[in-house]
Amino acid sequence: MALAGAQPASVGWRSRVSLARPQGLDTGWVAPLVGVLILGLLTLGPVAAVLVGSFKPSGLPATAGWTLRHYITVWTDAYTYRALVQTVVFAFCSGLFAEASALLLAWLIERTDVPGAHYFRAGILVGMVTPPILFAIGWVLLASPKIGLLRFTGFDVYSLPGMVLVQGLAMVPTSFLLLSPVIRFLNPALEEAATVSGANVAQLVRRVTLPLLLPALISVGTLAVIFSTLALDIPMIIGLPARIPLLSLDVFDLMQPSSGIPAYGDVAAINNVLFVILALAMWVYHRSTKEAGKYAIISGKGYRPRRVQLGRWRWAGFATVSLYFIAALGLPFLALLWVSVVPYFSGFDVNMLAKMSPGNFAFIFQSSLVHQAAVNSAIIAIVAGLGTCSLALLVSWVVVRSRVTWKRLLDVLAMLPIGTSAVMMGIALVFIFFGFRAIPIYGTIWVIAIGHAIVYLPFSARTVQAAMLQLSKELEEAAHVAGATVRSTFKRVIVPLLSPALVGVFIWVAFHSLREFSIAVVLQSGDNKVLSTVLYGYWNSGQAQYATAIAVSLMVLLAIMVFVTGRFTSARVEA
Amino acid sequence: MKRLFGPLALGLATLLAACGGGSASPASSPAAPATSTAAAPASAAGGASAKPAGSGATASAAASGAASADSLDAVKAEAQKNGGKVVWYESIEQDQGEKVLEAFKQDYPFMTGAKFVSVVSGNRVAKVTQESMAKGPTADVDFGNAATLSNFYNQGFVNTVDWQALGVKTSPELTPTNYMVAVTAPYYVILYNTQKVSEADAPKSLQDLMDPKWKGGRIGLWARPQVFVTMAATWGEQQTVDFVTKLSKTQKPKIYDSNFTIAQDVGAGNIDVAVTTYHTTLPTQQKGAPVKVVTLDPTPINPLYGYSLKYGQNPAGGKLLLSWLAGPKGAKVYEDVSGRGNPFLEETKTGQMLKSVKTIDWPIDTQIKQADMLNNLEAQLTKIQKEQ
Repeated sequence: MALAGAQPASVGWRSRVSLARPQGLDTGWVAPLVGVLILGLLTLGPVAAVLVGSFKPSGLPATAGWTLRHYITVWTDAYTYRALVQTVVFAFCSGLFAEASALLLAWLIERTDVPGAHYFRAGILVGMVTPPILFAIGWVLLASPKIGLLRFTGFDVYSLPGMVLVQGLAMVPTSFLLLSPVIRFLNPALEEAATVSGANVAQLVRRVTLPLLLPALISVGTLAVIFSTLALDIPMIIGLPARIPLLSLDVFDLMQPSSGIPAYGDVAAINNVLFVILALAMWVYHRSTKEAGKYAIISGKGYRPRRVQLGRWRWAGFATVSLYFIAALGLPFLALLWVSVVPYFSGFDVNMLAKMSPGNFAFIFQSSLVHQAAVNSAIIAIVAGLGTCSLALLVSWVVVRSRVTWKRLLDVLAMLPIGTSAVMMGIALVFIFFGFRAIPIYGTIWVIAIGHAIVYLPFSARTVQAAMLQLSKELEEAAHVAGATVRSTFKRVIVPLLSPALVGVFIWVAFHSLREFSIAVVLQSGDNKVLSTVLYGYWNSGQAQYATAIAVSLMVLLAIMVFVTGRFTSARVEA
Repeated sequence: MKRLFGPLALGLATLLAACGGGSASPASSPAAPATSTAAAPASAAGGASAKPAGSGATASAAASGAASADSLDAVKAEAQKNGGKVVWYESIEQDQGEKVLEAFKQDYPFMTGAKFVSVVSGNRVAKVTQESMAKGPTADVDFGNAATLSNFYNQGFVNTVDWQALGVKTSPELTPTNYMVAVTAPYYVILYNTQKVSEADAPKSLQDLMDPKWKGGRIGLWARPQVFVTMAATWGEQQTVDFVTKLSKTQKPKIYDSNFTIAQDVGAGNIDVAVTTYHTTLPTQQKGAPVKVVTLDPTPINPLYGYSLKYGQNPAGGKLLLSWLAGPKGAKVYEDVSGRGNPFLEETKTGQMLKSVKTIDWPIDTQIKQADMLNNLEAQLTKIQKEQ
């Protein structure tokens, strides 16, 4: 249950690190070329389609004519700049909030003796499966000034701070998953030295721990900002009613006119400029993860992280972690559960208690549509997870080990999809897969799985690459000398050593695939319905009770899985 | 650099070659309309004071120009020959669409391969466009408004149909062209929460929403201001723009992405009143939420038309489904399931309900010929709703 940093620290004590970049075995040119071809088709294709579309009068690639009209229309409009500024503020604030919360949680759970740490560590994953749109609705029922359970506090969710809070809370699980292994395996030598020298906890954190974590913090923060910039679900529920201008909402408006053809060209013109900005952010992310690799610990022998004894603050730490769980899981879950058992969408009301019924759960459990969608979603999540892990492994291996000079091209291709909104990616994929008639997968669940693998590749590739950088090349060389083929080296050396990162990436992709909507809805054609489109279909047709019943069931199912497996993995982590 | 360029060029070449199959420009291969006159709107009927259903209007001249191969028997035989398949895209939820198709299959048991795909409106237009540009397969039947359909028609994505030969009741409202048939028409109402607003206080018209008592986020509006675009048919463009500007500036309404969500929020008391489509209020009403509807007079309506897609897998099956949906039985089933009825058929509840009120809509030829003007007005009003 850990991501890249599950390898012994992406930062650590310099005396135990190798600052020399491992050269590794030569991968030859076949693997890089295969990688470039696969990624070129999967990532360059959709991105190129969006780029070309932005210069076409219709906004769609492979149509007649060329124009700059879309850029002029969008970028001479003052509203676009207002939306851009608000987007930046929203993205930075929610990214910072998520990161700060995740950092605090990770430190308390991984490095202190806070009670129930292993349950908390596992429980954070449950929040990841909640569709963001329902998470936002849960918070509307909690903090709406008119019907919210917490309206006595005076906090209005229909505001920029409200949106930042909800988006930030929604991103904590991912940030935590990235930060917690790094913190868990922080080498205690420096901290011990500082403590011996008389530093108190505050000084220790400020002067030792934070500087050590800086590369990881920059990379996680950048990622959180990028995710927030492209986020649509939460802004749609909170920002749209409150009329907060955001670029993601602008794109949504342009794509959903009540008449006529969506303004693809204008959307592409916004997307491509955003792409450049996000590419800069990706560069920062790239640099920070690269630096993290340089400071990697090569050997973990004789190494055991020390947990800080909080003493009388132990229960205060417990309360702090619990507060997050109440805000991010408990209360929204309660709100969704409420909607799923009352006859109509409503705020908390004692008069409704007598009308509560489990009928909506009975309906979804008996629905063949939900059954089929659940099976499809599970298959897609597994295939997308495995596919992404495989691609990420290929990219990472080539980028880290290959000696060909153009290996970075693979890295760039793997990063490309991050700047493209999911809606545009879905549209581009329709175009691409129609182009490949020889592979008849359009209209099947496999096309959705491929779509998910593409959009989640940037995160996965960077995570696996960071882990790969921490692997010593000597083990692979030893396998080679012992006569192992590339395949068996992969099977017996590389994959087992990277397994914590790969498992983490798989879980992250699978959970996000389960709730992903924008790509699935564009690529569905009859037999490839998935849970997220069914759930959103219910929500968008006034059947909130069924949508919330599905979400609640998913959360409960996942909570059971996480706590069963969590106990097991925690035991291993503790060991 | 050369080393970098090689694989990149190879990848791009492969990509371009692969995309070649779908690169046909629709402009280069438009579907040939039956005749130029046949493709044109039948008349200016359905305008600002369009007659309600059953006005006795005669079938449009447009219907007469299409092929006789569209006789019901011929279409049935062809649909069956093609394996009884038909794919229908619509925005109603999956369960609802499947219920409609179950009733369709009872009448046409050989249509065993009938499939429904629920796709929300904006994505549907994108999906149909992309699938049609690649020459399919796409749906056999889709619903859309006149502006979208005329655009699709001009791009050659749509089949012409002899509605009369198919047994569809023809009239300028029902069959305005030989490629579209009216299947439903969402109409706008005011919805209010009865626990927050008394019947006497409830707004009775759009103008009543300007009352200062509705300030401060008490009103809910749809993000796509279609209702105001329709009102511009009688108010005129400038008055409409002024109205929306003032409403947004002074009352600060909440904006929603879905009319269903608006109705839910009125039921929950999160907003007190809203302008929304009637059928989207039904789930909330049926579940017993404290809401009530005020019918607007005149009532803004937005007819949706069914059409047969050229690059569907079984166009004959599509025509058969369309003829059934446009007929009394199919329209009633569709209305019972989705709440959206066909105001141009007296047999439907919607037809009965709107019989006594004046309806407002842009004339069909304006919707087709001045689609850009209407789209621009909608874009302008959307912006005003967001910005003010």
